[in-house]
Amino acid sequence: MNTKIFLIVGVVVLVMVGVTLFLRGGANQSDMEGNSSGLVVGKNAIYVAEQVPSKAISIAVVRFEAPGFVVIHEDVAGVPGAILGRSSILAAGETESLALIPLSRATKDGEMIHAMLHLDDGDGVFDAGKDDPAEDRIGGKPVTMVVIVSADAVEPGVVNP
Amino acid sequence: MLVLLAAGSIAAVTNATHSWGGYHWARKANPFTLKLGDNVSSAWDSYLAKSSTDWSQSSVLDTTIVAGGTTAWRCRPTNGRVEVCNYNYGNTGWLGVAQIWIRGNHITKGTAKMNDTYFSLASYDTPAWRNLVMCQEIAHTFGLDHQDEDFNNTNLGTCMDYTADPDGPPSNEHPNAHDYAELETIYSHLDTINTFSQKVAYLGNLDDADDVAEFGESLRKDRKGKTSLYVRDLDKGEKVLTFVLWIE
Repeated sequence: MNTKIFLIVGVVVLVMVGVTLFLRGGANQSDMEGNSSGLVVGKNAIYVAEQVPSKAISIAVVRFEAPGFVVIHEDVAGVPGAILGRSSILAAGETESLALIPLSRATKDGEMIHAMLHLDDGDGVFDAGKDDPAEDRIGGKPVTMVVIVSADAVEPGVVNP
Repeated sequence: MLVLLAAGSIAAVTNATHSWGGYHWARKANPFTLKLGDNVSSAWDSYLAKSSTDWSQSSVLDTTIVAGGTTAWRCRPTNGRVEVCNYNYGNTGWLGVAQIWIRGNHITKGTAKMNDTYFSLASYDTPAWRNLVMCQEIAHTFGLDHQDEDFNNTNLGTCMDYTADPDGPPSNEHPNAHDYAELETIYSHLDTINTFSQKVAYLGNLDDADDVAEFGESLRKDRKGKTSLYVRDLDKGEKVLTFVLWIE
Protein backbone atom coordinates (compact mmCIF):
# COMPACT_ATOMS: atom_id res chain seq x y z
CA MET A 1 0.00 0.00 0.00
CA ASN A 2 2.77 2.39 1.03
CA THR A 3 4.66 1.47 -2.12
CA LYS A 4 1.63 2.36 -4.26
CA ILE A 5 1.27 5.79 -2.60
CA PHE A 6 4.97 6.42 -3.02
CA LEU A 7 4.78 5.56 -6.73
CA ILE A 8 1.75 7.82 -7.27
CA VAL A 9 3.46 10.75 -5.55
CA GLY A 10 6.60 10.03 -7.56
CA VAL A 11 4.66 10.17 -10.81
CA VAL A 12 3.02 13.46 -9.76
CA VAL A 13 6.43 14.95 -9.00
CA LEU A 14 7.84 13.82 -12.34
CA VAL A 15 4.87 15.28 -14.22
CA MET A 16 5.19 18.60 -12.40
CA VAL A 17 8.91 18.74 -13.16
CA GLY A 18 8.22 17.87 -16.79
CA VAL A 19 5.60 20.58 -17.13
CA THR A 20 7.93 23.11 -15.56
CA LEU A 21 10.77 22.15 -17.90
CA PHE A 22 8.40 22.42 -20.85
CA LEU A 23 7.30 25.90 -19.82
CA ARG A 24 10.88 27.00 -19.31
CA GLY A 25 11.77 25.68 -22.73
CA GLY A 26 9.07 27.89 -24.20
CA ALA A 27 10.42 30.91 -22.40
CA ASN A 28 13.93 30.31 -23.65
CA GLN A 29 12.67 29.94 -27.21
CA SER A 30 10.97 33.30 -26.90
CA ASP A 31 14.18 34.90 -25.74
CA MET A 32 16.01 33.63 -28.80
CA GLU A 33 13.55 35.62 -30.84
CA GLY A 34 13.91 38.67 -28.63
CA ASN A 35 10.58 38.03 -26.98
CA SER A 36 11.41 38.71 -23.36
CA SER A 37 8.72 40.27 -21.24
CA GLY A 38 9.53 43.64 -19.82
CA LEU A 39 10.21 45.50 -16.61
CA VAL A 40 7.32 47.89 -17.07
CA VAL A 41 5.57 50.27 -14.75
CA GLY A 42 2.22 50.19 -16.47
CA LYS A 43 -0.11 47.94 -18.37
CA ASN A 44 0.77 49.71 -21.60
CA ALA A 45 4.33 50.09 -22.83
CA ILE A 46 6.33 50.54 -26.02
CA TYR A 47 9.94 50.44 -27.12
CA VAL A 48 11.09 51.49 -30.57
CA ALA A 49 14.73 51.69 -31.60
CA GLU A 50 16.25 54.46 -33.71
CA GLN A 51 15.08 54.11 -37.32
CA VAL A 52 16.60 54.72 -40.72
CA PRO A 53 14.58 56.87 -43.18
CA SER A 54 11.95 54.60 -44.67
CA LYS A 55 8.33 54.23 -45.70
CA ALA A 56 7.85 51.76 -42.86
CA ILE A 57 8.75 51.52 -39.18
CA SER A 58 9.66 48.53 -37.05
CA ILE A 59 8.45 48.27 -33.45
CA ALA A 60 10.56 46.23 -31.03
CA VAL A 61 8.00 45.55 -28.31
CA VAL A 62 4.57 46.73 -27.14
CA ARG A 63 2.35 45.81 -24.25
CA PHE A 64 -1.38 46.50 -24.22
CA GLU A 65 -3.86 46.16 -21.37
CA ALA A 66 -6.57 45.58 -24.02
CA PRO A 67 -6.52 45.19 -27.81
CA GLY A 68 -5.17 48.25 -29.55
CA PHE A 69 -3.05 49.83 -32.26
CA VAL A 70 0.37 51.41 -32.58
CA VAL A 71 -0.15 54.73 -34.32
CA ILE A 72 2.72 56.69 -35.88
CA HIS A 73 2.43 60.47 -35.71
CA GLU A 74 4.48 63.23 -37.26
CA ASP A 75 6.28 65.55 -34.89
CA VAL A 76 5.00 69.09 -34.67
CA ALA A 77 7.14 71.20 -32.38
CA GLY A 78 7.73 68.31 -30.04
CA VAL A 79 4.18 66.97 -29.89
CA PRO A 80 2.36 64.36 -31.99
CA GLY A 81 0.83 65.70 -35.20
CA ALA A 82 -0.75 64.09 -38.25
CA ILE A 83 -0.99 60.32 -38.44
CA LEU A 84 1.52 58.68 -40.79
CA GLY A 85 0.48 55.07 -40.28
CA ARG A 86 -0.79 52.46 -37.86
CA SER A 87 -0.45 48.80 -37.08
CA SER A 88 -3.18 46.23 -37.49
CA ILE A 89 -5.06 45.49 -34.29
CA LEU A 90 -2.85 43.91 -31.64
CA ALA A 91 -3.99 41.61 -28.87
CA ALA A 92 -3.79 42.43 -25.18
CA GLY A 93 -0.48 41.46 -23.62
CA GLU A 94 3.02 41.71 -24.97
CA THR A 95 3.91 41.56 -28.65
CA GLU A 96 7.48 41.67 -29.91
CA SER A 97 8.99 42.23 -33.34
CA LEU A 98 5.79 43.46 -34.93
CA ALA A 99 5.28 43.42 -38.67
CA LEU A 100 6.54 46.62 -40.28
CA ILE A 101 4.04 49.45 -40.08
CA PRO A 102 3.65 51.10 -43.51
CA LEU A 103 3.69 54.90 -43.59
CA SER A 104 1.99 57.34 -45.93
CA ARG A 105 5.35 58.94 -46.73
CA ALA A 106 9.00 58.17 -46.24
CA THR A 107 10.52 59.54 -43.07
CA LYS A 108 13.47 61.89 -43.41
CA ASP A 109 16.94 61.90 -41.96
CA GLY A 110 16.93 63.95 -38.78
CA GLU A 111 13.22 64.05 -38.11
CA MET A 112 11.41 62.72 -35.06
CA ILE A 113 8.23 60.70 -35.06
CA HIS A 114 5.93 59.59 -32.27
CA ALA A 115 4.83 55.98 -31.79
CA MET A 116 1.66 56.12 -29.67
CA LEU A 117 -0.55 53.37 -28.30
CA HIS A 118 -4.32 53.62 -28.91
CA LEU A 119 -6.91 51.26 -27.43
CA ASP A 120 -9.57 49.77 -29.67
CA ASP A 121 -13.14 50.78 -28.82
CA GLY A 122 -14.32 47.23 -29.43
CA ASP A 123 -15.03 47.16 -33.15
CA GLY A 124 -11.55 46.03 -34.21
CA VAL A 125 -11.22 48.90 -36.69
CA PHE A 126 -8.96 51.88 -36.08
CA ASP A 127 -10.76 55.20 -35.82
CA ALA A 128 -8.70 58.10 -34.49
CA GLY A 129 -11.87 59.75 -33.23
CA LYS A 130 -13.00 56.77 -31.19
CA ASP A 131 -9.91 54.78 -30.31
CA ASP A 132 -8.39 56.86 -27.56
CA PRO A 133 -4.68 56.88 -26.71
CA ALA A 134 -3.70 54.39 -24.02
CA GLU A 135 -2.91 56.33 -20.88
CA ASP A 136 0.16 55.79 -18.76
CA ARG A 137 -1.07 54.94 -15.26
CA ILE A 138 1.46 57.45 -13.98
CA GLY A 139 0.52 60.97 -14.93
CA GLY A 140 -2.30 59.96 -17.24
CA LYS A 141 -0.36 60.90 -20.35
CA PRO A 142 -0.58 58.87 -23.58
CA VAL A 143 1.95 56.06 -23.75
CA THR A 144 4.29 57.25 -26.48
CA MET A 145 7.86 56.80 -27.58
CA VAL A 146 9.62 59.54 -29.48
CA VAL A 147 11.68 57.93 -32.22
CA ILE A 148 14.71 59.42 -33.94
CA VAL A 149 15.09 58.92 -37.68
CA SER A 150 18.71 58.91 -38.76
CA ALA A 151 20.43 57.82 -41.95
CA ASP A 152 23.18 56.19 -39.92
CA ALA A 153 20.94 54.52 -37.36
CA VAL A 154 22.22 51.19 -36.13
CA GLU A 155 20.06 48.22 -37.00
CA PRO A 156 17.85 47.34 -34.03
CA GLY A 157 19.25 44.72 -31.70
CA VAL A 158 17.54 42.32 -29.36
CA VAL A 159 15.58 44.04 -26.61
CA ASN A 160 15.07 43.06 -22.99
CA PRO A 161 13.24 45.74 -21.05
CA MET B 1 7.74 15.07 3.69
CA LEU B 2 6.95 13.95 0.17
CA VAL B 3 5.07 17.15 -0.46
CA LEU B 4 8.06 19.15 0.68
CA LEU B 5 10.26 17.06 -1.57
CA ALA B 6 8.01 17.83 -4.53
CA ALA B 7 7.97 21.55 -3.80
CA GLY B 8 11.73 21.54 -3.43
CA SER B 9 12.16 19.85 -6.78
CA ILE B 10 10.03 22.43 -8.56
CA ALA B 11 11.83 25.36 -6.94
CA ALA B 12 15.16 23.93 -7.97
CA VAL B 13 14.03 23.53 -11.56
CA THR B 14 12.38 26.92 -11.95
CA ASN B 15 15.55 28.67 -10.74
CA ALA B 16 17.92 26.40 -12.62
CA THR B 17 18.79 28.85 -15.37
CA HIS B 18 18.17 32.44 -16.36
CA SER B 19 20.40 32.77 -19.37
CA TRP B 20 19.05 35.21 -21.97
CA GLY B 21 18.78 32.88 -24.93
CA GLY B 22 22.37 31.65 -24.59
CA TYR B 23 23.74 35.02 -25.73
CA HIS B 24 27.21 35.79 -24.44
CA TRP B 25 30.32 37.81 -25.19
CA ALA B 26 32.88 35.78 -27.09
CA ARG B 27 36.23 35.66 -25.32
CA LYS B 28 39.31 33.51 -25.37
CA ALA B 29 39.88 33.49 -21.61
CA ASN B 30 38.17 34.17 -18.31
CA PRO B 31 37.83 36.49 -16.59
CA PHE B 32 37.31 39.10 -19.28
CA THR B 33 36.84 42.82 -18.73
CA LEU B 34 33.81 44.49 -20.24
CA LYS B 35 33.76 48.25 -20.60
CA LEU B 36 30.71 50.20 -19.47
CA GLY B 37 30.46 53.54 -21.27
CA ASP B 38 29.41 56.23 -18.80
CA ASN B 39 26.75 58.38 -20.46
CA VAL B 40 24.81 58.91 -17.25
CA SER B 41 24.26 62.08 -15.28
CA SER B 42 25.72 62.67 -11.84
CA ALA B 43 22.47 61.46 -10.29
CA TRP B 44 23.23 58.02 -11.65
CA ASP B 45 27.01 57.83 -11.28
CA SER B 46 27.03 56.14 -7.90
CA TYR B 47 24.51 53.52 -9.05
CA LEU B 48 26.55 52.74 -12.13
CA ALA B 49 29.66 52.44 -9.97
CA LYS B 50 27.92 50.17 -7.49
CA SER B 51 26.52 47.92 -10.21
CA SER B 52 29.91 47.70 -11.86
CA THR B 53 31.47 46.67 -8.55
CA ASP B 54 28.69 44.19 -7.82
CA TRP B 55 28.94 42.40 -11.13
CA SER B 56 32.73 42.39 -11.04
CA GLN B 57 32.45 40.03 -8.05
CA SER B 58 31.80 37.38 -10.67
CA SER B 59 34.66 34.99 -11.23
CA VAL B 60 34.23 35.09 -15.00
CA LEU B 61 33.89 38.77 -15.79
CA ASP B 62 35.00 42.18 -14.63
CA THR B 63 33.52 45.49 -15.62
CA THR B 64 35.22 48.83 -15.85
CA ILE B 65 33.64 52.23 -16.34
CA VAL B 66 35.01 54.26 -19.23
CA ALA B 67 34.06 57.55 -20.85
CA GLY B 68 30.78 57.32 -22.73
CA GLY B 69 30.80 57.04 -26.50
CA THR B 70 27.35 58.42 -27.26
CA THR B 71 24.74 60.90 -26.14
CA ALA B 72 22.22 59.93 -23.51
CA TRP B 73 19.23 60.61 -25.76
CA ARG B 74 20.39 58.52 -28.68
CA CYS B 75 22.35 56.00 -26.65
CA ARG B 76 23.92 54.44 -29.68
CA PRO B 77 25.96 51.29 -29.20
CA THR B 78 29.73 51.05 -29.56
CA ASN B 79 31.38 47.90 -30.82
CA GLY B 80 32.79 45.70 -28.13
CA ARG B 81 31.26 47.32 -25.08
CA VAL B 82 28.12 48.51 -23.32
CA GLU B 83 26.88 52.09 -23.35
CA VAL B 84 24.89 53.06 -20.25
CA CYS B 85 22.53 56.02 -20.53
CA ASN B 86 19.79 57.90 -18.70
CA TYR B 87 17.35 60.38 -20.20
CA ASN B 88 13.74 61.50 -20.14
CA TYR B 89 12.69 58.94 -22.72
CA GLY B 90 9.03 59.78 -22.12
CA ASN B 91 5.90 58.00 -20.91
CA THR B 92 6.92 54.77 -22.56
CA GLY B 93 5.81 52.43 -19.80
CA TRP B 94 9.30 51.09 -19.09
CA LEU B 95 11.73 52.03 -16.34
CA GLY B 96 14.73 50.55 -18.04
CA VAL B 97 15.56 48.72 -21.21
CA ALA B 98 18.57 46.77 -22.40
CA GLN B 99 19.45 46.06 -25.99
CA ILE B 100 22.14 43.77 -27.36
CA TRP B 101 23.47 43.22 -30.85
CA ILE B 102 24.44 39.71 -31.71
CA ARG B 103 26.40 37.75 -34.28
CA GLY B 104 25.23 34.18 -33.97
CA ASN B 105 24.86 33.90 -30.23
CA HIS B 106 27.79 36.21 -29.53
CA ILE B 107 27.04 39.65 -28.15
CA THR B 108 28.97 42.33 -30.03
CA LYS B 109 27.65 45.50 -28.34
CA GLY B 110 24.94 46.58 -25.95
CA THR B 111 23.08 49.49 -24.44
CA ALA B 112 21.30 49.97 -21.12
CA LYS B 113 18.85 52.85 -20.75
CA MET B 114 17.22 54.24 -17.59
CA ASN B 115 14.07 56.28 -18.13
CA ASP B 116 14.25 59.49 -16.08
CA THR B 117 10.65 60.34 -16.94
CA TYR B 118 9.78 57.92 -14.14
CA PHE B 119 12.85 58.35 -11.98
CA SER B 120 12.01 62.03 -11.62
CA LEU B 121 8.86 60.99 -9.75
CA ALA B 122 8.93 60.52 -6.00
CA SER B 123 7.68 56.96 -6.22
CA TYR B 124 10.70 55.84 -8.24
CA ASP B 125 13.31 58.39 -7.27
CA THR B 126 14.71 56.17 -4.54
CA PRO B 127 18.08 54.46 -4.15
CA ALA B 128 16.36 51.07 -4.10
CA TRP B 129 14.63 51.53 -7.46
CA ARG B 130 17.73 53.04 -9.06
CA ASN B 131 19.93 50.20 -7.80
CA LEU B 132 17.48 47.57 -9.01
CA VAL B 133 17.07 48.94 -12.51
CA MET B 134 20.72 49.81 -13.11
CA CYS B 135 21.84 46.41 -11.84
CA GLN B 136 19.28 44.55 -13.93
CA GLU B 137 19.69 46.38 -17.24
CA ILE B 138 23.47 46.09 -17.17
CA ALA B 139 23.17 42.38 -16.40
CA HIS B 140 20.99 41.81 -19.45
CA THR B 141 23.92 42.95 -21.58
CA PHE B 142 25.98 40.09 -20.09
CA GLY B 143 23.36 37.60 -21.28
CA LEU B 144 21.40 37.24 -18.05
CA ASP B 145 17.60 37.16 -17.98
CA HIS B 146 15.21 37.51 -15.07
CA GLN B 147 15.07 34.95 -12.29
CA ASP B 148 11.41 35.73 -11.67
CA GLU B 149 8.84 37.99 -13.37
CA ASP B 150 6.13 38.20 -10.72
CA PHE B 151 6.05 41.66 -9.17
CA ASN B 152 3.98 40.59 -6.19
CA ASN B 153 5.68 37.51 -4.74
CA THR B 154 8.43 37.43 -2.14
CA ASN B 155 11.72 38.97 -3.22
CA LEU B 156 14.45 36.53 -4.21
CA GLY B 157 17.18 38.91 -3.08
CA THR B 158 18.45 39.67 -6.56
CA CYS B 159 18.07 42.56 -8.97
CA MET B 160 17.12 39.98 -11.61
CA ASP B 161 13.78 39.50 -9.83
CA TYR B 162 10.79 41.72 -10.61
CA THR B 163 9.36 43.37 -7.53
CA ALA B 164 7.11 46.16 -6.39
CA ASP B 165 9.27 46.59 -3.28
CA PRO B 166 12.92 46.69 -4.32
CA ASP B 167 14.38 47.23 -0.86
CA GLY B 168 12.42 44.29 0.54
CA PRO B 169 13.44 42.66 2.73
CA PRO B 170 15.11 40.87 1.23
CA SER B 171 16.57 43.59 -0.95
CA ASN B 172 16.46 43.17 -4.74
CA GLU B 173 19.06 45.85 -5.33
CA HIS B 174 22.07 43.66 -6.03
CA PRO B 175 22.97 40.30 -7.62
CA ASN B 176 22.74 37.12 -5.59
CA ALA B 177 24.80 33.94 -5.61
CA HIS B 178 22.58 32.34 -8.21
CA ASP B 179 23.31 35.16 -10.67
CA TYR B 180 27.04 34.60 -10.28
CA ALA B 181 26.54 30.86 -10.68
CA GLU B 182 24.53 31.44 -13.85
CA LEU B 183 27.29 33.65 -15.26
CA GLU B 184 29.78 30.87 -14.56
CA THR B 185 27.54 28.50 -16.50
CA ILE B 186 27.08 30.87 -19.43
CA TYR B 187 30.79 31.58 -19.62
CA SER B 188 32.06 28.10 -18.77
CA HIS B 189 33.28 27.48 -22.32
CA LEU B 190 35.84 29.55 -24.19
CA ASP B 191 35.63 30.94 -27.72
CA THR B 192 38.20 31.38 -30.45
CA ILE B 193 37.55 35.11 -30.81
CA ASN B 194 36.85 38.09 -28.60
CA THR B 195 33.82 40.27 -29.24
CA PHE B 196 34.51 42.60 -26.34
CA SER B 197 36.86 45.52 -26.73
CA GLN B 198 40.54 44.95 -25.99
CA LYS B 199 42.88 47.78 -26.79
CA VAL B 200 46.15 45.93 -26.78
CA ALA B 201 45.40 42.29 -27.40
CA TYR B 202 43.60 43.00 -30.64
CA LEU B 203 46.62 44.57 -32.26
CA GLY B 204 48.73 41.47 -32.22
CA ASN B 205 46.05 38.86 -32.52
CA LEU B 206 43.98 39.85 -35.50
CA ASP B 207 45.00 39.06 -39.03
CA ASP B 208 41.98 40.73 -40.53
CA ALA B 209 41.44 43.85 -38.54
CA ASP B 210 39.14 45.76 -40.84
CA ASP B 211 36.70 46.69 -38.12
CA VAL B 212 38.36 46.70 -34.73
CA ALA B 213 36.12 47.35 -31.78
CA GLU B 214 36.59 50.86 -30.38
CA PHE B 215 38.64 52.11 -33.31
CA GLY B 216 35.75 52.09 -35.75
CA GLU B 217 35.84 51.36 -39.45
CA SER B 218 38.83 50.86 -41.67
CA LEU B 219 39.73 54.03 -43.56
CA ARG B 220 43.18 53.33 -44.93
CA LYS B 221 45.30 50.22 -45.38
CA ASP B 222 49.05 49.83 -45.49
CA ARG B 223 50.96 48.09 -48.26
CA LYS B 224 50.46 44.74 -46.60
CA GLY B 225 46.72 45.20 -46.57
CA LYS B 226 46.45 45.88 -42.86
CA THR B 227 44.38 48.80 -41.69
CA SER B 228 46.52 51.72 -40.63
CA LEU B 229 43.84 54.31 -40.06
CA TYR B 230 40.45 53.85 -38.49
CA VAL B 231 37.58 56.30 -38.19
CA ARG B 232 34.85 56.21 -35.62
CA ASP B 233 31.85 58.52 -35.83
CA LEU B 234 30.71 60.20 -32.66
CA ASP B 235 27.59 62.28 -32.41
CA LYS B 236 27.38 65.95 -33.42
CA GLY B 237 29.73 65.48 -36.35
CA GLU B 238 32.70 64.46 -34.24
CA LYS B 239 34.94 61.69 -35.43
CA VAL B 240 37.76 59.82 -33.81
CA LEU B 241 40.66 58.81 -35.99
CA THR B 242 43.00 56.10 -34.77
CA PHE B 243 46.31 55.45 -36.42
CA VAL B 244 47.86 52.05 -35.89
CA LEU B 245 51.44 51.04 -36.45
CA TRP B 246 51.33 47.30 -36.78
CA ILE B 247 53.99 45.00 -35.48
CA GLU B 248 55.70 43.20 -38.29
